[in-house]
Amino acid sequence: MITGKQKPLEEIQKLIEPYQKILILGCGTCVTIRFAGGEKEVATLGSTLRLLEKQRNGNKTFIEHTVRRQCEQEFLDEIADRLKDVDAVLSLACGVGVQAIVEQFPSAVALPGINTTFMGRPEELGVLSERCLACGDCIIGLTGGVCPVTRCAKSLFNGPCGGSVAGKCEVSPDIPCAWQLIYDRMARLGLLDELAEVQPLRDWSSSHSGGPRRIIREDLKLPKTG
Amino acid sequence: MKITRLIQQQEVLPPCQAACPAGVRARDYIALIAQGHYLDAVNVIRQDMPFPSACGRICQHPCETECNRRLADEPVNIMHLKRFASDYEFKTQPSAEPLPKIETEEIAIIGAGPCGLTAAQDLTRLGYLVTVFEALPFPGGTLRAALPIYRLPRELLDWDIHNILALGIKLNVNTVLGKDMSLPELKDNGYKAVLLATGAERSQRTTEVEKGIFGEGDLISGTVWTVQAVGAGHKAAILIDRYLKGYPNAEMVKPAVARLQASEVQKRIKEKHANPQLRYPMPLWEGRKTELGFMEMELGYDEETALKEASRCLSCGAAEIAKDKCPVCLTCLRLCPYDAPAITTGSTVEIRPSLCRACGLCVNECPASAIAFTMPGLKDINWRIENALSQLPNTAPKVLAFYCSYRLSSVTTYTRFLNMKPANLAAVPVPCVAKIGVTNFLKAIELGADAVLVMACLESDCPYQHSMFWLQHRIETAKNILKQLGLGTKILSVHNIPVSDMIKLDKTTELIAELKSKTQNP
Repeated sequence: MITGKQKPLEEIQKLIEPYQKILILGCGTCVTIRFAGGEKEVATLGSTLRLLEKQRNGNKTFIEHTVRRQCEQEFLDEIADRLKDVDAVLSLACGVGVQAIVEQFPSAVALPGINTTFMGRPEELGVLSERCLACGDCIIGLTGGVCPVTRCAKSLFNGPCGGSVAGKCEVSPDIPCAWQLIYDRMARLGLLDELAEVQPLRDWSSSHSGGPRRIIREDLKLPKTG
Repeated sequence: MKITRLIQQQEVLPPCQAACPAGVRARDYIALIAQGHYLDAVNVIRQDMPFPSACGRICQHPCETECNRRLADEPVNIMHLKRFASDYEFKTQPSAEPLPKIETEEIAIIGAGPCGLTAAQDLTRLGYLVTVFEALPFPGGTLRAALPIYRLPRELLDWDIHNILALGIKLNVNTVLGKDMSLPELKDNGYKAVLLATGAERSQRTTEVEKGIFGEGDLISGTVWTVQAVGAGHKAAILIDRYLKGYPNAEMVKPAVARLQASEVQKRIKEKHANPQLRYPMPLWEGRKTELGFMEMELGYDEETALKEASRCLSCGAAEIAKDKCPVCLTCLRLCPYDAPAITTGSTVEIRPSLCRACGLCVNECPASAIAFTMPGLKDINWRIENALSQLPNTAPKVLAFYCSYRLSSVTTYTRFLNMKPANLAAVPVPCVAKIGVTNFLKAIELGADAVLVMACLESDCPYQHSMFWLQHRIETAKNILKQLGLGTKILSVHNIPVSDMIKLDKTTELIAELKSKTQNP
């Protein structure tokens, strides 16, 4: 799922500098599960910023709230009243949530408190690892369930590059070579022959390179009233 | 602190509370006693059982019959602990405050016995204006009229009744229904509901006689135990409240009960999660009976015995996941040393009360703050920090010390410690310091602490697995934040002290000296 990390304190301080009354808004879904922007992180950041303010002899005030999901209009409705009492919202949601705030409340100031980083999974508690770049044309069925777009540093589609040594990527010894993983997986499945098949040229326009994307589902649209 | 009781839907109840006809939260008040918060314990007791002086002495205690501890040795002495707390309160006599009137309806209650007065208390707490009419010259019903004074001293019963009436209830004694006033008169005088709680002398069959007139207690059931009459009073209050608000009659949901297996209870005692001693006996008058006269033969627990008995309680079923907040991240499942959380058939997570030891790790690590202790005394650390710091003088650096309240069972050491500790040190007991989270440490500093000390037990002394690991984790996180704030990492520190040291006087003196030097240069 969406994964991110809280911005360094200095950066957050700079972002909130022009504002007096700030709402620290957490999100109860992905960033909670990834320990970046849930109710607990909101409470910790609130205490930290208040302590900082005391040190500076400043008079910024912070209120804290967490909604279930910041990217949903109905959940954001909850903060409509609170917005009247604040100058800015320091949102600990992913980038989607931060943008949702200004789309729903055009005169609100929404500041990002976390750096949304990737879509990934925990390899163990405390180790989060990128798995999907949302390319829009998933071919991992052909590569033994390992994504060459995401796990290969160069998103190569034709096998490992010359920098792959002892199964590790040349970028860092912590990164396994994606094509080594693919090869090993396909070998285990007895499907190495399939790797030799020539696939048609990839159309990358389904990825962000083709521009910001939308999915239109006519079957999900509500009936038009009036 | 007024701990407000909502008619809350708890998913799982400990067996003591489930067995009690009045729903007394035995586990909760015993946990408060075990931490030394006797008046807070009485606060909880009085909401469920307005007559602790009586039930602390004469109750049939079905709670003890169901106590999980009995599976290993003997049930916790729930009744005598109730008596200890209420006797303690009687000695200090804190004042009771009248409650605000929220609702406009007025209610009349006929009968100032345990049923009537309990209903009066509950309805007053809900914001109604209640008047009680009593035929006899004094309130108390059977408690006063039938119990001998050597079983229930009258000044204690009077104190219980005082605490009830002080909430703002009007009492008219020497008023007989049918002679000094009638039901139609009450209606004319504006009472919107009437409760007949006149006792067993004249019996009735139905609970709702006619619209707005209810009968409860011994009047309906015949003579029963005091605790059952109190339970009937609670029930009557709910019925009347729902009637006045126009709600349909609700099915009382039967919550699940946290029952443990005998092997589990034995394991927990062996691993020192509870005091392994058998029940502490009630001290009895040992002098000549002629000297005793009509005073009580049972003398009541002293403070040290009460602390030790209270620490025999296993705190069954104490942690719950709020399903509406839980994102099912599975963190609690991954870190619980006792395998208590489990994935349900509906793909949510539940904490199995049969395995949960109330260690508090998941409560503090849950990223959604979705896990809570269902007991007061475990969820109010921030409030206790604020309270403790507010009592310190502003003339010296303020130091806050957390310490493990399980070490409290030596009252003499605790009292000595309190008398000897520096004036600028505030102490907050917590049942295991692993229940303190990063936000608590920061809150302490936010609220004015210049230094925070955590007096932890040695890892080998702590019965909770991984507690020291997680405590260290949180200290590191808090220290990292303090570093970024330029506050220096010395203002937060952990000291591991062997339990045996906490008991010896010379070690306590050493600790005090060390604390003194720390508090002068935090």
